[in-house]
Amino acid sequence: MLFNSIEFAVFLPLVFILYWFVFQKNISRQNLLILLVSYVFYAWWDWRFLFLLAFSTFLDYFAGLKIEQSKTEKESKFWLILSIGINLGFLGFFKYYNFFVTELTAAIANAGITIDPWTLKVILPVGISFYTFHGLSYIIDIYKKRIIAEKNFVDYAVFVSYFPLLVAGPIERATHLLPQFKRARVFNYQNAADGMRQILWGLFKKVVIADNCATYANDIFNSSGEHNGSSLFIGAVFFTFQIYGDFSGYSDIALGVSRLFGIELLRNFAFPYFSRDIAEFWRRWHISLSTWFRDYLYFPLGGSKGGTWMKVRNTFIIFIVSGFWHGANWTFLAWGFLNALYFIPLLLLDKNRTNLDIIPTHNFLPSIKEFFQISFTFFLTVIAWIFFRSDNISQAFSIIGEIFSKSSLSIPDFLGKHDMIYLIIHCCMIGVLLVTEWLHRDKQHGLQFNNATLYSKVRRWSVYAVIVVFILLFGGKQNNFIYFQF
Amino acid sequence: MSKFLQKFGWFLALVILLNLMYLLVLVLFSPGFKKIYQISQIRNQKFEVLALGNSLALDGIDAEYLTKNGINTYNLAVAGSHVATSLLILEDYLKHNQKPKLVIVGLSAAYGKAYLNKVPFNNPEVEFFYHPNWKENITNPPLMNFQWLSVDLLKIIISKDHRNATLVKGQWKTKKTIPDNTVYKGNSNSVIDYTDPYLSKIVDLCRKNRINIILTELPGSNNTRNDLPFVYEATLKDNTKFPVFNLNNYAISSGIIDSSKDWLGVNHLNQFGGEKITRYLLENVIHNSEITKIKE
Repeated sequence: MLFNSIEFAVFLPLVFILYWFVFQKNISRQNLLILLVSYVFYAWWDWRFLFLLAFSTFLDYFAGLKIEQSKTEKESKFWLILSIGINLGFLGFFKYYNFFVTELTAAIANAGITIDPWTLKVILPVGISFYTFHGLSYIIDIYKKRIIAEKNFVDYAVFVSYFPLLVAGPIERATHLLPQFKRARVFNYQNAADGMRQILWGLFKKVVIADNCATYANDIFNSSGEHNGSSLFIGAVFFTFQIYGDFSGYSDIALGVSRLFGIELLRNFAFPYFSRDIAEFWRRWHISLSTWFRDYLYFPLGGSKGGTWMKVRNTFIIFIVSGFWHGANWTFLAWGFLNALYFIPLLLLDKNRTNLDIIPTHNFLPSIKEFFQISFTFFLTVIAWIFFRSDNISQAFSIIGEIFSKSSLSIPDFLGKHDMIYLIIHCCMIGVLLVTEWLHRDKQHGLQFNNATLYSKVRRWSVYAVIVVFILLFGGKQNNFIYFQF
Repeated sequence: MSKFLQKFGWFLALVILLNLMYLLVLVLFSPGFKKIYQISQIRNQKFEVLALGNSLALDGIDAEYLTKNGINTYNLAVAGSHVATSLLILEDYLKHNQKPKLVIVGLSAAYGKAYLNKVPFNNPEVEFFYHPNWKENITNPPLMNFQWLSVDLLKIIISKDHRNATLVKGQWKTKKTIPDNTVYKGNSNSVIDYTDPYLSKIVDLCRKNRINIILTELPGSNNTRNDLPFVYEATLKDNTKFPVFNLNNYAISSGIIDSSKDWLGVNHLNQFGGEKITRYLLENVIHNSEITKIKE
């Protein structure tokens, strides 16, 4: 079930009514309801994968209890490794099996031995990377004694399969989310109203920005060999906004929906394209994944405590693993590697934590220096996204080669294929996105109105009306969310 | 909670109001929307000739010119439509009006794939007026359903030519001129796929009602033109052969259309081009065929 579908528009109010009007007096029943509707939500795609979700949930629940009950470190470690092994085994099979078999076959072929690759038609279960990481964080936290194992299976299952975050995050932590399912929830008007605003803004980003930018990005990337450098660069810029609109739009909707049920989820995006350097970008982009890798991979590897070599090694590891998490393709690895290359100079110069504040805190507009910093960081991310979007490494390199050639100085040749008026409208919509988010850059999302005096009722409702018109009138063709494939 | 539900109710009311306002704006200012409303309301008329097709026929078949030349004509073509929509409009017209003597179906190589697409698609405006459906209006509200008409409205706001355009006897007439700078590819003899079942249904409907029918391939921009003869045979769905009058022949259309003056955009004729092509159609097809019977 897509957030931007009619089915979800019916599903959400129904669940809301049952949750607050039928089961409001009993936390256990509320949790059971959420679990059932989450399974319905998930089964909407493919009910067969419910068994995998249920198995993974039960495995981690059981392993969590066993780790806690273990009398020796050895026993505790056994259950930890077993759970991690099975979880990563499923993830590896569904996500990476064909990639490894194909690459291995190619490597053997290079040695002069030809074999038939035993590839399988594996369908990737939606959200497997997300719920696997939920489970992993839970059992690692129990092993590290940061939390105690959850005894109530329903409460644990709700934590893993909570429908707003089930298929594309944010990747939650048991320490943050589980306690919320143990507490009685009280309806909070301010939170719910702001949740609705966040949903509206998320829909704008998905339907107006991402779905429209996808038209141009797909057109240009799918025939990249036929385009000049200027078109290819514009295509990469469109993809840069597409992926932001798509993923941060999804996250905004997820957070907003969850707030309607009195549950706060981890923030996933903090206006990343206003970052002044790559380190700041990574503190603002897919925050729940970045912090997951920081806490469960980077720190255990030693973090930045060791010498220079250790810092560099660990940085490369988390960026490359993060790239590989996105999918089984060399392009994702290259994307991660390139981001590590961007990051290393800041790390070595000890400037990776320079820009921790919100820019600029005192002025309406950025300074010239900040403007150039933002533009340069944006340019670096655009180049990196080319690897992420390309079908293979050679396509990415040929696109980048063309962008840095003389043909970038010529008129974009993709213009003839598209109606200019639509292109102008879509560029204006990107402008609306940037201006709105810039004005709210110190808030949690683009439509957060904290100051009642600044935003009078009329002004607020006028903004809602404009956004609704934009969504309905300029919404692109419905596309799946990009991160569903991860 | 009650405050939240109340605000949510207001929000839904706002969404409904915005959609109603949009409908009102379309009714008042959108020529495309107004046209479909008008043709859905035609009653007890006796036009001698009807034109069907998509935007190429809408812009390119000059009903006023034919009427001035003694043949009372109305252009029923609808922009962005499939041939199934043309069939729907014709059936509805025949139900409420006297049957015409001739139906001209304007086809095109440039947009033939869309108009004769194997999978029929609905034109939202036509469905709105011809098959009113409240459920559809809720799941697909006007702001969403008639998205592309908003672009037309924008064009009216920003372009004087669009503002001055008129709807005369169903034809959208504008003096706006954008030269056709495309180049003829040469030796193009590909025939449009005419096997769409709805085209056959239109032909059958006309035959059943003893209405003459002309299929004509309207001219497109230079790069879409062909070398096919002026009259070639199309194979319809039921394998019957039917003559197509080919105005998209490079030599013929180049003799009629001035690339620098007669286009309002890619493949679409402006009112000058529309009049020229209609005159040619009248002199070389309508007058020279058994259709001249319509003058009896």
